Amino acid sequence: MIDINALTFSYPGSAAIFRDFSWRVGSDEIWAVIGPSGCGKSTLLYLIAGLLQPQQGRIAVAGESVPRKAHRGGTGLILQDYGLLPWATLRENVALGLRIQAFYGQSRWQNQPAEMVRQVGHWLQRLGIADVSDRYPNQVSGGQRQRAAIARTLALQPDILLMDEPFSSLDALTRENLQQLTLSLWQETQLTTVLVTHNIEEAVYLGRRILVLSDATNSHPVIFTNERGGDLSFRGNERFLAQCTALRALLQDGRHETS
Amino acid sequence: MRRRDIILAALLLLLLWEIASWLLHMEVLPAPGAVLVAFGRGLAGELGRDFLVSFARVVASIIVSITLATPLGLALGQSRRLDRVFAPFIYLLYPIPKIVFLPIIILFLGVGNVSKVFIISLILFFQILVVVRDAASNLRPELIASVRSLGGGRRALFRFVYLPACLPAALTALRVSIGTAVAVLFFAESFATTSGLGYYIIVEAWGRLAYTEMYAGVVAMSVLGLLLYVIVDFLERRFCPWLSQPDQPTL
Repeated sequence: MIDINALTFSYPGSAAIFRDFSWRVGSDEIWAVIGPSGCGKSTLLYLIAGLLQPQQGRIAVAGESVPRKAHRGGTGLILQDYGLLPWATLRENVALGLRIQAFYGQSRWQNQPAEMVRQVGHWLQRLGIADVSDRYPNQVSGGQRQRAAIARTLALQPDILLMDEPFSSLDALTRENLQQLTLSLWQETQLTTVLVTHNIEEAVYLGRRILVLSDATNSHPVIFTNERGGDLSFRGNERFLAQCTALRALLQDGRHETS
Repeated sequence: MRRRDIILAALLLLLLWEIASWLLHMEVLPAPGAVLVAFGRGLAGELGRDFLVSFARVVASIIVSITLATPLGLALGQSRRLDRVFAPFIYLLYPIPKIVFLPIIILFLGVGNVSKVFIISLILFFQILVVVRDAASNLRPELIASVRSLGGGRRALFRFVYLPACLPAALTALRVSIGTAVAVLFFAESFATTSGLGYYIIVEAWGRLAYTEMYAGVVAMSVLGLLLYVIVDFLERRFCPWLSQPDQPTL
């Protein structure tokens, strides 16, 4: 679903984050990406989303080079915070992607405003924020804001979902709720999902496979296999803790090699 | 701020005026009652006409300056390259007190409405330009990135992000510069013209030592400033409803 081929990328004036880096995410998979701060986790998502351009190499999503012209909104991206329009209510925010499609006159919504309202209502309901949908982002909790961001993205029926540390500014319980919600949505929609995190437990809970990046130049993907990841009942049992320990060791090794 | 408090404050100011006029007992400080009577009577005649002329000049200037400054400010705020070209010019021109250009403007544009609208528009233009530019360039990159990921290109970003983000900034710029605009209008109308509140106060009333009428003109000028302020308030509530919503995070 996501094909990265011989990617090279660096920010001006710094060492390359990726050199000749290839990585492949299959359809319907759920991945976590983990690594120390500054290792390029977020950069990788921005590259896949087409918001940054690689210096070399090719990135394709569903066979189409990014940025995707033919399928606007086909790549869902959810950021840690500040992604919602502060001047629009949650309902207006959730409708934003559909309104953008209608704005470009390319959409099935244009002649069917009622269908658009129904679609927005459905996702507000599914994400459990229907009762606060007329409030502005600064009037709701951080968890509700992220639910709105997810609803907004899913309303566009994307084929991949990229999440950049989406829950890291939330309190522990809200974070667990949203992790479970992410998993049930993934199981419902079988949407190819890549979630960037710096939290080991989050990576082990959500990622069936985990890409481990290092803060030196990344040239080949280090992949941690985690067969029980993406299972709602996985958290807390012995196998889960063992996987966390193993992933922590792998992260520490990576750091040791590079220092 | 409640309406009742505003009315109470207005009554208190009138009372202080009444007391001062009673204590001083001079022709140059008439009592508010007499001035308000003159104001009411004047509105039906010459004062009313001059009020409308001044009001129209300010409103025309506001429309001209917003129409020109908002798109330019948005463009500069969006494009770093464009901003690099224009920033030094704005840096040089922004702090110049535009009023000093008045004689030159009158030489070029004459003493009619055009020169007055021009000078006020010039002042408002730079205020709005700078504020809108800064508002556009201070938008969080996360916000832009997430809207782009929803399929937003340049035009959609303009429509759904930059425009609504800059509207409150433009209105704030307007609010803080309305006082200056009215002051400049007063100055520009006080010579070489035959209409407007400045003309009424300086030539018609002050020049003829008609103090009560002069005060009526001052009241009219104050009402003009207040009215414009109220209009900006109304526009803000109408177009930026999110600003008047209280923050109330619920967990």
